[in-house]
Amino acid sequence: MKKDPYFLYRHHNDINSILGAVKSSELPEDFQLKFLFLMSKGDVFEAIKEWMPSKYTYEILEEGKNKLTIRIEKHLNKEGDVLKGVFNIERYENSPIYVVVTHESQKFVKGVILEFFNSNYSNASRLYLTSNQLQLLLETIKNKLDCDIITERVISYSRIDQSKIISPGLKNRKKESDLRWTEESYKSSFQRAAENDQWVDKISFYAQKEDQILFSASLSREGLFKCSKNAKDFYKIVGEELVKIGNKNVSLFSNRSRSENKGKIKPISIQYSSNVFEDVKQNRRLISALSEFPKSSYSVYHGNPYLHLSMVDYIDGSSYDIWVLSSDKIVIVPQIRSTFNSLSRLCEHILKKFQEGNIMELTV
Amino acid sequence: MGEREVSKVLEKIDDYEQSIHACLSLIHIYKWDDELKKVDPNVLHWIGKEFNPGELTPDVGLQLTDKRGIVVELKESLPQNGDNENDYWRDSFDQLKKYDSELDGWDTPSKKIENQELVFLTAQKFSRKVIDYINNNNLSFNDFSKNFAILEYNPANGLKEGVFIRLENGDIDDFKTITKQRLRDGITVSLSFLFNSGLSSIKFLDYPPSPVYIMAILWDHVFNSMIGEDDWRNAKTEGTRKMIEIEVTVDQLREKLSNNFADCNAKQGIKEKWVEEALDNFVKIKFAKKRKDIAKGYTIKYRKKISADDSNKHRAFAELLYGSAGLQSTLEGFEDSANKK
Repeated sequence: MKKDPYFLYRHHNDINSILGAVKSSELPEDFQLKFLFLMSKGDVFEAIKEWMPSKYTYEILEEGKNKLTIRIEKHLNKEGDVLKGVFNIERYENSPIYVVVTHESQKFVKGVILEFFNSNYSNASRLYLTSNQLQLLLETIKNKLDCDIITERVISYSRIDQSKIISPGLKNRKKESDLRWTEESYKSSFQRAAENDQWVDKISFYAQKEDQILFSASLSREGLFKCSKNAKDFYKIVGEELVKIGNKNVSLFSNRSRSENKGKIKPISIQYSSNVFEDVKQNRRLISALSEFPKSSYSVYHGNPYLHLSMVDYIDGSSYDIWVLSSDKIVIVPQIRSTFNSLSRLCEHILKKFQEGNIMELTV
Repeated sequence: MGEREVSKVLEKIDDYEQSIHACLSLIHIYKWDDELKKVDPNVLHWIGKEFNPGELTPDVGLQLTDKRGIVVELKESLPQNGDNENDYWRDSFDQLKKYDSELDGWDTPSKKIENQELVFLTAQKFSRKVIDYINNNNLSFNDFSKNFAILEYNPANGLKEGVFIRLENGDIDDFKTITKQRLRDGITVSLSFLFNSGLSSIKFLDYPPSPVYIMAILWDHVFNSMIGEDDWRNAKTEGTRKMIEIEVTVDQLREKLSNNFADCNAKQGIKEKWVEEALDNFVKIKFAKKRKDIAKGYTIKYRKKISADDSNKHRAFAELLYGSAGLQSTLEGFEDSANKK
């Protein structure tokens, strides 16, 4: 008899309890749980209860001390088509990290959950990861479980140099994907991406110990993870690591606006290990990358030899001055309004569309 | 009218920004403790603070100790000078002469200071002419001031972008590692150091920039901060072309600009007149209308796109106001006020 998957969510105090139930249930081999990691400087539960975008309706099915179980519907058109599903959202051990877990389809995850949490709440943001952090997660899994990590599929991207495109039909393409099915070690996958100046977007792998597959999983830089079989082990390890990364990011992206600091500035920087901006052409590349930041406008006040531009994020009205004054860093200066969500999205955009670097407090 | 006026506005804005960088760099030189690698809180600075007698507001005041202060007057440009009858520089140096007296307004118990030095800070392209002018007219600025020095500034390009400041003429006493010889050789201050000393917050000096400069700051950083979260959410769901109307007053904007972008010790920060002029320009280009219900009130029609090519808002606003396709209004008023500097 087919089980109602709602048993996954009902009467559980936390995600660990859900994962325990999943482990002890007889579920199909390909049964997969999806985890979306979020970070917040506020209370995500309260934010959801206070405001819901107009396209969505929701019902709280269960509410616990540190979790909500929500049924959500997204209204797709006037004909009344909807995408609906259930998810559980839990605060990870009183940290600023929240985890959304669901068994629902990829269509629901992409069309509803990702969009819902992308930019609607100014105090919450997806937990974005760099290629290095993804690699570190895999290393941690390998070390903690004393297993091998075998890469199945890697999707990495590189930016296209527009001047080198000959075919007019490809002129609007900004990035080039590299999808590989492999059976190689994850280290080789990341090394190859770095050598080709690519960023790793998603990686699917399985953890194998002796002849036994412990679990199959995938990680993405947008904080969306999937796991089939033994998700409890997977979740425990990645959760601990993501709390460390999330804590650092929360401190970097919180309370940066002038209005929160009596008019004073609290800049952050994206630091590169090489002199990226030695070549002034990189200023133009950065401008081009920033021009692709969704729902924003930019204004370039100086482009050569140094770069100074301002940006307004029209999703929530945050604004920034962005400077390149030395060859190895970008300085981001939040202005009167700058939300946690906007600053997080802006940094991820620069890392993804321009070049990956270290986001940090500004040091000169 | 047309491109020539637009270029003039952009040039004026560039001069203004260079002057800000020069003033902040000079402040940084004295405030930054090279040995301790941090700001020395005992060195005080002011932009546009009022001193007496005469309600004088030098561009920069630096109090290095409770016995020593530097008064800095900046000239970013000087008009082409003529003969004695057409001496357009005389007013500038008469003004400078007023600072050469025992000023009252320092942060000391008596409000006065024992050793006062006077610095004339000017763009490199003018410094030699200024020295010649002072020598040819036998001008002196040592009635009260212990020293008088002419410092020049110029943008410095290199691995790190910055400002080059050099002592061109006169004397200035040593202070910690800032010796006269170092100033004579020239000191380059990287603009990124201004982030460290927190000085990068400042976007205004004590005299007015082009109204276009204020319009761009209002558009990029102020109006957007006055829209509530719900309005942003509604505007977003209704498409990015949606225009959001914002009710503002001159005083409200003056306060926001002063609190965020002016030196906190400035006498008045941003002047009401500057803001009003910028807002009237928004009305001219139909980005705002005057409110009838409140004095000096405006409704801003805020939108994402201001023109087909708004990738430089200084240029975009200047073109809308003065360009061939714009209003072709005169620049005379602006030039008059700018020339006073």
